[in-house]
Amino acid sequence: MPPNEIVPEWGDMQGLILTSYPHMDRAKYLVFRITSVHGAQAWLRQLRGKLTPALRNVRSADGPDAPCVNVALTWSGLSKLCEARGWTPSGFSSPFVDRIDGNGHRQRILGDTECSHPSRWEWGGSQKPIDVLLMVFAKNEASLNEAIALYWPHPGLELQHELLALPLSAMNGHEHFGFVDGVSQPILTGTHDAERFPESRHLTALGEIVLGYPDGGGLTPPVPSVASFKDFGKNGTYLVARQIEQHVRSFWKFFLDQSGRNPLAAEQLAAKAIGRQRDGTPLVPYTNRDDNEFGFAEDPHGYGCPMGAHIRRANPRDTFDNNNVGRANALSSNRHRIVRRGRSYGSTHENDLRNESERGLVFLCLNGDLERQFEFIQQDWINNSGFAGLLDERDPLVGDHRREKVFTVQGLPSPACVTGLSRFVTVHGGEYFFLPGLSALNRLADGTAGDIGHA
Amino acid sequence: MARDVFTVVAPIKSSKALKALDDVLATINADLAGNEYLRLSPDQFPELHFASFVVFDPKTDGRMLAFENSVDGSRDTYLRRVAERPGIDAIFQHCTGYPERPDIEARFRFLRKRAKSPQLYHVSTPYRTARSIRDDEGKRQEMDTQIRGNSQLWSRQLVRPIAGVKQYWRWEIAKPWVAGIVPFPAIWLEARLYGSINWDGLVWRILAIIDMAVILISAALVAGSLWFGALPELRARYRRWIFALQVILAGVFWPWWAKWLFTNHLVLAIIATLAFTLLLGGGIPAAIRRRRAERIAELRVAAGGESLVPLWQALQGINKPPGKGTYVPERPGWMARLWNWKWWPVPPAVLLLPLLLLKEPEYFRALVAVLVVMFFLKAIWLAALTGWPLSATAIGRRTKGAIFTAVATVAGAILVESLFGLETHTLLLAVFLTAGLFLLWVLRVPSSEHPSGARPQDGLSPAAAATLRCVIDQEDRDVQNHMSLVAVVRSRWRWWTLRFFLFLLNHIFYRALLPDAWRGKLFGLPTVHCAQWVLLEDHRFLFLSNYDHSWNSYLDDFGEHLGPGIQKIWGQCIGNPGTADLGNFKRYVRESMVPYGVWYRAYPGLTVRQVWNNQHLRTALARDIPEEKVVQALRRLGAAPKVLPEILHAAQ
Repeated sequence: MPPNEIVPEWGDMQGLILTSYPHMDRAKYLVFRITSVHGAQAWLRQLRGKLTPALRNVRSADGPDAPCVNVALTWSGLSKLCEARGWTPSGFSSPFVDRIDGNGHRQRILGDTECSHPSRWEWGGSQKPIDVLLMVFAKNEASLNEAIALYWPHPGLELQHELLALPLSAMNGHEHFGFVDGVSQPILTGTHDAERFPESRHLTALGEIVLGYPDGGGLTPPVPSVASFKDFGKNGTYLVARQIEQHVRSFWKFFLDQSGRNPLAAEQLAAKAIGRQRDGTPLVPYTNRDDNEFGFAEDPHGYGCPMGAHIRRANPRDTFDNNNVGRANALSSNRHRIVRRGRSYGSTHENDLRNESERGLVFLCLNGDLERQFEFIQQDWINNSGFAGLLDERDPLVGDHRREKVFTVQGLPSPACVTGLSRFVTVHGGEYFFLPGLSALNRLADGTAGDIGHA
Repeated sequence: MARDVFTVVAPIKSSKALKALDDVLATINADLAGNEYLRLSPDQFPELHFASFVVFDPKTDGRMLAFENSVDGSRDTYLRRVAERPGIDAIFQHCTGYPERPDIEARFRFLRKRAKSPQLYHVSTPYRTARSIRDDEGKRQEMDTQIRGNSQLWSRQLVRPIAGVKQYWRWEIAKPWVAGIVPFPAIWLEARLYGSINWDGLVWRILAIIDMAVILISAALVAGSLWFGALPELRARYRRWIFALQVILAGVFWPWWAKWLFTNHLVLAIIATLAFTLLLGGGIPAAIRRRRAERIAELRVAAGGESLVPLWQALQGINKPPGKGTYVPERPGWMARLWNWKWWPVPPAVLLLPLLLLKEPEYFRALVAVLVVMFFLKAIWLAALTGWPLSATAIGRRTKGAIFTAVATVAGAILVESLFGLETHTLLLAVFLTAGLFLLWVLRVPSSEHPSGARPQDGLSPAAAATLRCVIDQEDRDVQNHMSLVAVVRSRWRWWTLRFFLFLLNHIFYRALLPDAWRGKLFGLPTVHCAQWVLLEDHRFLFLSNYDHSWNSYLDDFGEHLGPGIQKIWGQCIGNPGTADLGNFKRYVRESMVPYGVWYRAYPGLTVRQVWNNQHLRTALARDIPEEKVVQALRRLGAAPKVLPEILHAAQ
């Protein structure tokens, strides 16, 4: 690293920024409301030193087997903690302040309409407001429960909802529809991976995800501050959490019906909708299973991976050109990346289509700018009915199919259309959080600057 | 038919009148086609593309109503038709100067008097009528339905292998020819000019030998890729290297070698050049024939061994307009096309070449003078738009424009110097350049301070926040969006500068020299249906735009691709923070925006790209095209394809 470059303060960031803790088989997410600010402050003090920092070399702070713990706050949680001390937080991103269901417009662009409408949610939004998110990761169930017992129950916090993630070993890297998930992640500069793959197209400026560092445009945007603590937001990031139910049965039923009850064809068609085979092989020609450096310019007409396929919409890679200005480059598409940290929840009857118990994804993603990243992806790519010149269609997998219900598969001799798509996912809860740096959390807990980082 | 874009601007009497007006506008907007005041629908106004009623500055004495229009034909015909609707009294009676007892003529006079032509405007389809755009869309939907109904095609497609189909290698096929032929006249000329220099040294001989070897490798690569199709993986991975190597070989080494040959053995050189060209490009006709045959074979396999001709003919049946012959979209006239031709410097350059050889001084000088002046005009205006002179933060992104301008300036200066010496022409040119640069300098200075002294962290005032909520709530209900914005120009002097700048931009650059004007792009952005900049006498500056996709991406497009150019226009307004920090600029724009009262669009749901796509599709269907090209047309049914070369070049 050149000497004049800013050294990231890894020890002050929460671990989730660097890793999804793949060595921790179990995970549980708990959301709370603060009923007493003093209780919450005591709780945060109790957490001091226990939260897992983002250490570049070590997976977990206390050794490989100790559970990992991270904490995020919503705008209301942050305001309550600040108000008690008479501080005013300022400079926070406006979607974060507005909440995830802030207005009708936000619901439209995120696709939170009809059955996914925030009024039906089990947690989050303005109907069921929450303040704090606690994420606990552990090797096994016993150690998970043990770790949670340390922090909950606690006076001043009221549990609103809890979600137990499925063991990683049970899902084996797949999500409930049966496809390999979480393949494509941005590689943040300054991490080990960035040194290993300096040429990668996924190389993304640290400031795109973590506040207080230069972003993809080379500028360091001002970080949010709390009262006189100007650097409050530094080493923090915004976290989007959404509980997304996957309707596995209707998903496969639909694709089976569309392909004349032929399971092979149904799988091909579903692969077209996603853009990858079940094992993760991209449909773009000349790629193999482990190749994630491919670009869509190899497949300009979508004959392999359709123009509207999920992976193309979620990240158009080299073919993203700001609405077709004609100057496509990977750089500008990396200004709209998110770090995904989700896990599956619910039942594990992957192949049993008759089972209708709820299963889905706890979608967690990190981004430095909610508007430019998470919301942009949802609005301009996933739910844009004119994406890539398509006419009246949305993401076949997670799109908000209200009117269109169409998915076009480009091919020879002519494009073909799948019609009558329904929503294969329903959102049951969600919120925008702020994942503060550790010193910022300490400051909130006891009103002092605290020590930066960990010993 | 030409488009007329204009805005009727009328001051509103009082805040009481404003309330009543708001109610009327809300009623109209709630039911555009069936309300009691002014019915806006394709039946009522077939010539209307976009229209809106926007109330600007409602809290101040300067409150006014803007009635934005984009119509086919002339505004007189349209406004007369609007004046025939007595319902508009309910709208305009709240404006000052509206007649007490309005009849058609009085209403028309009122509207006509207050209709303002924008200083700069853009329309994406300047020659298409609203009726024919809607007609195109209807036909495309019919064709789509027919194709969708063809389940046979569908099921075959699924069981086909997933890998993509090889594309035509247009550039690769053409490259050897280009590489071989292009240097030929240039080298010959050079050889003539510098013939007296002794090239017969040892260095040149060594270079020639190296070059021969490299040319052979290059030829083998090209031939290999043509004859044996190369390995797909090799092609995919190393395409850019092969390409770069070929360019270097053709561009750098070949001229050296050829120069030596030309100087010493002219006849041999000509024979060698022809042989080189033939060697590299000789197989092309055969290659094209073979690719075509392969293509048709592939298609037949995809269609289940059948010809695509019946399918094609069925679609052609749909495409036929009732009662008429073939489909012909409205097009610009030949004068307009010539005027907007992208390759306009080519004919003068071609004319120049023989004159250069003949050395006819008079014609030659006249031609060069015209060419140089036109070249400078274009260079300067392109530079103005891409943002030269550079702002500090834009370096890197804007280098292309800067390099272009620098090269153009130097080349032009050298040319003029060598041709005329330091005479009047040069002086004129110098004056012209200085004036242009001064104008650009004046325009690029941004407004430094926010009027209220607010910082981005401070957030909006409650009233501004409420307006903004209204604005945002109106957005993204459809793929098309509307934007209305009001700003105030900083001073009278800047008002005149801006007016002059916009005038030049509109007339000289945008209408005359920029080929985008009739291709539907606003300075290269193909997402804007209709936009207008209206400069009012009282220093206010209105911007009304109908665009595709989200507001955020619209502003990103402008900020990232045209930042400094946009800065020249908006920098004249109070409070503009400049486009260097896009986040800050967006905040400024958001604060200046106002919600619309009524918004009508003739073809909702269609993006600019789709409008053009439909036209291309129908144009293709109106002709009998070879079978292997049918697929290109059919592709347009599923999606408007991105212009391919651009994506491919970006990848290389």
